[in-house]
Amino acid sequence: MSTCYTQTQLNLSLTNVLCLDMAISEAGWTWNRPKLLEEIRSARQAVSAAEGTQNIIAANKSLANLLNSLSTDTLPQSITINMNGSQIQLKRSRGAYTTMVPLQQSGLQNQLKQITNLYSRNMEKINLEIQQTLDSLELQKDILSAEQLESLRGVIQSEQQAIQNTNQERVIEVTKEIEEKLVARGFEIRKRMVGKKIVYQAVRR
Amino acid sequence: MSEENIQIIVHDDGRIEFETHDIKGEACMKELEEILGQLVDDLEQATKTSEYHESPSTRKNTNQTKNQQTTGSGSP
Repeated sequence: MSTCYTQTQLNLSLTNVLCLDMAISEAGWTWNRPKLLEEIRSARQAVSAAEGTQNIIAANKSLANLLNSLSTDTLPQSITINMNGSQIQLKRSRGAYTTMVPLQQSGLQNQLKQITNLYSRNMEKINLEIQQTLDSLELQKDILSAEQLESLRGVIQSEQQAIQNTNQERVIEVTKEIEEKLVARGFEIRKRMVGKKIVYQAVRR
Repeated sequence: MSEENIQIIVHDDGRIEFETHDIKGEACMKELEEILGQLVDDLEQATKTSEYHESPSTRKNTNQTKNQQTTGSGSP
């Protein structure tokens, strides 16, 4: 078969507010950060500042509970990012934050691309840190008490869960729409799982 | 009779990839816009291959489009 045209992806979907917050901060911009993220930030500082095993365990449990809330709390339907004096509003649509920027506004488009690039990089960083922490906990299992290990695992697993849940929401929304539109346009669909990917093979005769 | 084929891959992080086969020229883009226009940003920036630019009479009746999705700028 020959090719009509191709396009490759540059960035991830903006699904996770924790990662989005990191990306916006790294760019030096601000946004109407949800209160929950402020609480998570404070809880992380409390973990760093905590002294004594029991205080550390308590601080970790508190942080894990807040991270769990990321999976269960309703995320804001729209957010506003302040970028060097200009503002842009992103709406939550189909499980991800997105917006429409006219092609003429190349400056704004570039700023949004910067956010998505930073988001992508931070998501990789978060996933790497999660894995490294889980690995280091495994190495420390003979040194730390069961309670310490449990509290640390709780933090990591809650963060992992928050990412998976937001991505899952996106996948559910996207697959539903794809299936509906393919069928409506007369395609027959064959759907299968390949690893963690959902693959649709659509044919129209 | 020819068949029009679209393969769409949805990754576990919500990214979308797609390839089309046997959908001619601009119809290929139009079809993708209808199906993925609300889900994939910058669809219009897809890289067209030489096959896309062939006239329908010389085209081999096989087209393919490949894409992955991005969110943050473009479609709502």
